[in-house]
Amino acid sequence: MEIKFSKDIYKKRAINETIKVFNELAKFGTKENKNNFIVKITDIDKDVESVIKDEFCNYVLYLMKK
Amino acid sequence: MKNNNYKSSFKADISLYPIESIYGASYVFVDKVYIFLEKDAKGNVIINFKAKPDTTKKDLDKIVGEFQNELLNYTLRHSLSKTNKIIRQRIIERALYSSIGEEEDIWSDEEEVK
Repeated sequence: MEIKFSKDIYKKRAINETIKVFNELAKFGTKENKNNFIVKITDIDKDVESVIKDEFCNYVLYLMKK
Repeated sequence: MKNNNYKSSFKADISLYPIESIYGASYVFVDKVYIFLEKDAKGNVIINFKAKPDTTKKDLDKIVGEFQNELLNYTLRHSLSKTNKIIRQRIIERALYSSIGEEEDIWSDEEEVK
């Protein structure tokens, strides 16, 4: 599972903070290219498998405002 | 819990809706809907909505409408904040300057008594 966050919209700090919060639920890998921060999610807890991607994105967005 | 695949999106012209306004409106709605932001080739922000479990299509449409209203609200607040920034600064400067002025008056009175 992979999420591409546009660098024009999302901040690395918010993504890093979100990874810390979600750390217990899955394994996270990060990389970036010219336009995007890319988050790879593996070993996802079965209980949250269907929602983790969406919840992760929401949390990053929530932190953008703070 | 019923999962669904209801989605919606709209494009926000960045020249009309500052990104800070989009963040602000999104902050209000992240507990009701999943939101993901992308940019198109022209630099506009595409706001993607995905319904949370047990949300009907009708609910999602309502949420998107409310989001658009909230976006307008935040955009207005952002605009007013920018306009009033100078006025706020002047008020603070005046308040600080006034308090300095009061101390000088007290010293003047003592000299007069002497």
